[in-house]
Amino acid sequence: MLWGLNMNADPVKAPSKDVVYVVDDNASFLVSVSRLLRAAGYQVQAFGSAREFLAQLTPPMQGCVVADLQMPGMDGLELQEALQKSANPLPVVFMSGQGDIPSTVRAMRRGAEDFLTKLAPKEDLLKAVERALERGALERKNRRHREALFVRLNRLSERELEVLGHVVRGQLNKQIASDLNINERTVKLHRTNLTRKLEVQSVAELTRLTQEAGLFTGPESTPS
Amino acid sequence: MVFNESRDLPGNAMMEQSMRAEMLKQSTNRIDFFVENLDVTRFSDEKHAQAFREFLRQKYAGQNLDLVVAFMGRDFNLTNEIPAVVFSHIPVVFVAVSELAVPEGLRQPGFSGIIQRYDVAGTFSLIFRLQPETHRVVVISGVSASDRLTLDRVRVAAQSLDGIDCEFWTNRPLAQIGEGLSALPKGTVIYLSTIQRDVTGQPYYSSQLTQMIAPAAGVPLYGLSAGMVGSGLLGGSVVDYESLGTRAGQLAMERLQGGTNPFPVEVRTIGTPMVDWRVLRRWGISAKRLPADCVIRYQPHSVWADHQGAISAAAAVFLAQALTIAALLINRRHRQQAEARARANQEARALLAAIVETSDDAIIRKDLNGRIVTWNRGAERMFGYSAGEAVGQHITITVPPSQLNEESDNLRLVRSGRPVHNYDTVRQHKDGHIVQVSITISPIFDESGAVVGASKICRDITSQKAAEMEIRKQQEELAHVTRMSTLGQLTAALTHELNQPLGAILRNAEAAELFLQAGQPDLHEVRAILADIRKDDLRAGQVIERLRLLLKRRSLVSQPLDLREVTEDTLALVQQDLLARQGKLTLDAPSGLPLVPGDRVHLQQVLLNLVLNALDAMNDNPAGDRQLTVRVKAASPGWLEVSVSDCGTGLPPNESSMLFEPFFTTKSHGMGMGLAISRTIIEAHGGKIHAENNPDRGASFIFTLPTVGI
Repeated sequence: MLWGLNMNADPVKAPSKDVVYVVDDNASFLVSVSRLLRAAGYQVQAFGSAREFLAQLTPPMQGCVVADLQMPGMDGLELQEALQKSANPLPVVFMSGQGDIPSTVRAMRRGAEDFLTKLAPKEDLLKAVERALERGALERKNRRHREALFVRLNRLSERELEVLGHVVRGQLNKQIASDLNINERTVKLHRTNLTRKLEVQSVAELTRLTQEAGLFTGPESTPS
Repeated sequence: MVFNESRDLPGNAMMEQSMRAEMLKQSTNRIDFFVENLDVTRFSDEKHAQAFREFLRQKYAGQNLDLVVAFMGRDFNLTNEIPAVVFSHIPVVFVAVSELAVPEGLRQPGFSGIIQRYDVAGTFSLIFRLQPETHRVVVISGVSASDRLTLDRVRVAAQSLDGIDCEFWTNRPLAQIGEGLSALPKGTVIYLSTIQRDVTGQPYYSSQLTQMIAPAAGVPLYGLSAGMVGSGLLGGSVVDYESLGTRAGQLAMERLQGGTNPFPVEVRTIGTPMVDWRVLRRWGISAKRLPADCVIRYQPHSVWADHQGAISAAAAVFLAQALTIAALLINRRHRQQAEARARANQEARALLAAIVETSDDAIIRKDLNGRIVTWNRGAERMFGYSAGEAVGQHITITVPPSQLNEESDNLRLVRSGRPVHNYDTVRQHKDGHIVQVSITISPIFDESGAVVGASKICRDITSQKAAEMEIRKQQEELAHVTRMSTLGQLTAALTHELNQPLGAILRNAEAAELFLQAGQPDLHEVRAILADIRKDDLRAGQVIERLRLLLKRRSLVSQPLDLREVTEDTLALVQQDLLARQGKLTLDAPSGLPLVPGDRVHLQQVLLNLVLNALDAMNDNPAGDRQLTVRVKAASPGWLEVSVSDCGTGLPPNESSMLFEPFFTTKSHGMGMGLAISRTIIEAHGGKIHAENNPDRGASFIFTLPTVGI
């Protein structure tokens, strides 16, 4: 993968800003998992309940969460929901002391990518954490990229944004001019301005940028 | 016989007495005993020992001794003087209660002996058997070299106790220890290890010490030696001096008869469980908790206490009988007025005789000395003696040796004019087999009202008893099976409970491997890991032990129970199911409810069954709407009531009477035995169970149980 953190799981890792947040109501399991992850080179923070963890959630946080599926009060799935709504949608690895089918199905349906029983071998746990960190890094990178795009897009005037919408749908200047009821020279001027402000060279680049920013994704959008 | 310690110590006195008794029992010759003691605790310096040796040598120089029996005490102090200096060439039997190895001086040809170790672990198990609520043990020990040896063993045994707080009071002067002991809170016990000398150097005898501290102690005392039982000790797995003495006597006889012992030294590590009945009573500990082989000392024997129920029942019967007799007397006077009195009377007698002769019950008349006067056919069949054989014999021909006391008690009651009504006991057939009988004895009065004899009716209840046993066995069997199937429904909870500690153990072990791979492993961390692994391993063991107890095939054991505690324990078992099924539980049980006599496991089984049923009933409710309420309350005086309420679909209107019938079920996976067994269990406890729909919605299952009388 492009954003590859180290895939060849070396037991002792290079220092990184990633933190693994472990959440489990069973104290002895919480201690043991935290210990293992620390021994494997991760920075670890441990929490005895989902609420306690959420209360300490101060963006920007970077890393992933390893959570028990069944906890009194807020359970693992509810924690995941709360995280997704927050400014810090950290990826979650679930552990369960149960491993029965109904709770697994529910967890999967609600988007848990990694689901481990508490007796799963170390390798599985470390791989799952590694995958979650990668996923987190990828999402973070996408998020940063999108934010940069929005900074650029924010430079456009309303009219320029309107013209951009038409351009990326593949309309010619003439059509745009007639649609917006302005003259073709003005359309050209807007196009020059918006390519400059968005720091792009071609229509193809323009199209990719709007797609990455998630703009104009209606049925009319042009596939690249 | 040479005693290292004072001969007056209770242990030594017991050993001496039982050894002499054993030797005299075995011997056909006269035995002359000479007894000497050094009293090394109070006269501990070498000067005394030397003088004692010299004294022995001079005193016994002319005597032709055949055997020396040496009571070594704990430190083998007499070891060197015995073989070499004082009694050379005389065989020796020695007895020692010690933690030390046998010294070389005693490993000689012609020597044999017994070493008894203190049963340190056995005393711990007795503590937790008698007082399972114990969570703290204060160990008091002396500081002499051999005290420390015992103490080390106590420490080792204490380490394997989980969740028990053990404190070792070794550095306090015993004279001032009383204050600390009186302030000890409930749940604590005092464990007296051995004490020769305290930290101030003051020597003590263990029985003297017990006497000194027992009155001050606010909690029970346990110890290691039988000599302490009787001076305030509750008990312990103690050194049984009598059996030691007896064994020493046997060894001595073997020696005297020229036998050789293939094992010159016997080492005993097991003690004898022993308690002081009075102390047991003082702390309110039920004698039912005692192990079967436990020796109970100082138990008074009281006929009145044992038979109070039977005697008061008998008094009631006596009153009824008196009324009957009065009626008969009036009747008889009427008949005296009638001309046909004699004839009618004769007819009645004939009828009575016919009834007596054809009865299946044994009907026997005996005189006040217990001689048999009449013996019907029923008696011939029941006891195997013909009327010819039996009449004139003493009634004890039908009484097995074990019940002889009972028969003399009966005769005493009869002489005082009291009847004995329907009591169950055993009698013996001519061929020796035991017959289970129910007996009623009524005194026979002459016209002046004096008791002249008794009539006795015995009913054979052997087959009835066997049937009762069979039913009971089947009920237990069935309860066992249902318990297994109820537990089957709890698998989710159990896997979870086991996976927590197992998972933690696995993670910890993996972490330790990684730590150890590092260039400079953090041994501190690894040690912490090992401690945690141990802890979790114990936890997993406890889960399995709890399961094992529930699954064990067992008979009913009744003990006073706190229903709130029983309910809390049961609800802890379903906690995980509740979470998984998104149910909400409310427990409403005040503390300080009166106790209920009952069988914990069986009552837990009923509660478990009702709670799981209630959860099942709410399966179709939306996830946020699964409220389960368990209430324990005092219903009417003398009764507690437990209700389990759900907010499910409620009971079908026409089937509520069928609910508690076997094999009735509304579930696709049910066996239909849960409620039937629950009813059997509740009724066996003297209670009632029923079900009703709640006023708003859902159903409640309610059972009542009688409380312990005050």
